[in-house]
Amino acid sequence: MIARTGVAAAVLGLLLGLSPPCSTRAWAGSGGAPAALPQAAGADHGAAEAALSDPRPQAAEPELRPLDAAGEARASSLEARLKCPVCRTQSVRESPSFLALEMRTRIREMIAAGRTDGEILDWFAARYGDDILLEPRKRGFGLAAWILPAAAILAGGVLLARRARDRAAPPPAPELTPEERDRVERELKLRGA
Amino acid sequence: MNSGRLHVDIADPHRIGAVPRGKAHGGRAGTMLRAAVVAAVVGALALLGWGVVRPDENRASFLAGRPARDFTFTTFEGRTVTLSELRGRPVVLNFYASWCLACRDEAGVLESGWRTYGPRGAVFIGLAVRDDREAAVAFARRYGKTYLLGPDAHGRVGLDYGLFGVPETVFISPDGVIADKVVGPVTPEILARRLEPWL
Repeated sequence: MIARTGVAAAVLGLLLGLSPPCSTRAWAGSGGAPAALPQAAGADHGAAEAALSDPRPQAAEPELRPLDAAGEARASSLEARLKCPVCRTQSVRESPSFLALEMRTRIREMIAAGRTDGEILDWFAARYGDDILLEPRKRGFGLAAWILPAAAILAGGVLLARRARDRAAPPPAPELTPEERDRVERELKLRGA
Repeated sequence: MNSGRLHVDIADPHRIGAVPRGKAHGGRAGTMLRAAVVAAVVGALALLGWGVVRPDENRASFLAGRPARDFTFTTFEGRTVTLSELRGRPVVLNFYASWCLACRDEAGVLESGWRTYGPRGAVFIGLAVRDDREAAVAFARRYGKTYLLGPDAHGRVGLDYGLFGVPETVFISPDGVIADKVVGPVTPEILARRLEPWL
């Protein structure tokens, strides 16, 4: 039963991991990425219409501000810790969407302005919610994500250790009443001891 | 006692003889442990399922109730507009782009909304996101837009308002608090529901 649920969880996780990644069109709203326009009433543009007019962002891509080596390392790490808001599965570093590009630009500006990593992550979380943090916060509900796996491994280890001990130790000798003891003695003697 | 062979009459196998393995800890504790593990796994799966099917449309709602962050932009006609100077009037802050299909649908709705509620005190702002200046101006002309229109340079205001895509519309109360953000095109009903109480 437990093994079967585990398999189910693994399959579900795999499906999640396989959900479509982001495209440059995700910013476009009408470009097929449902994340951009979840409940757009009356915006039922078919793929055909979208393909015909091929809406594309027209502004030039912003240049990423170059930083020193330490700054680049921090920018890269921060980009990997923020989820692209219009993608389901990609970080800002991986996503080719325009929104992610703008976020990368802003991250670099804030690093150059001397903001700490925590301040930068908070800045984005304040605007897009804690969902944008790929690493859950180490407080509140997010703490569960940090504690539960370790707790589960610990509990599993304790269970395994108990099992191993039970296997190694012989079962305790059953208690006998005086009558039973006498009888065992008698039978052993009869057997010819 | 017959024929000298060992004969133990086991009346109660649980008292005399080997204790079956697995019951060493007592059946009750084992069952409870198993139930606890199953409950934990089912609970974790339920959480996972909730995370998967949870609707996305409320993801912007956490902005509601927060003060609207101030910004200044220059309209396509060269006028400088600062949000905080509009305090006292409700503001409809729309993010659009000429390359966005859904923005074409709502273009007329916003313009007629402006003509209805503008004279009663509402302010309508349209910021073109990641758009070419000429294309954004041409878009405004094509749909006869007459409210405050300008570029969102480098997506700055958009990021500040947690923009996911276009179109999105932020409703800012007369005292400068974000009341709501609509993801997707607005409708006349949405405009009326939001603006009427403020006018």
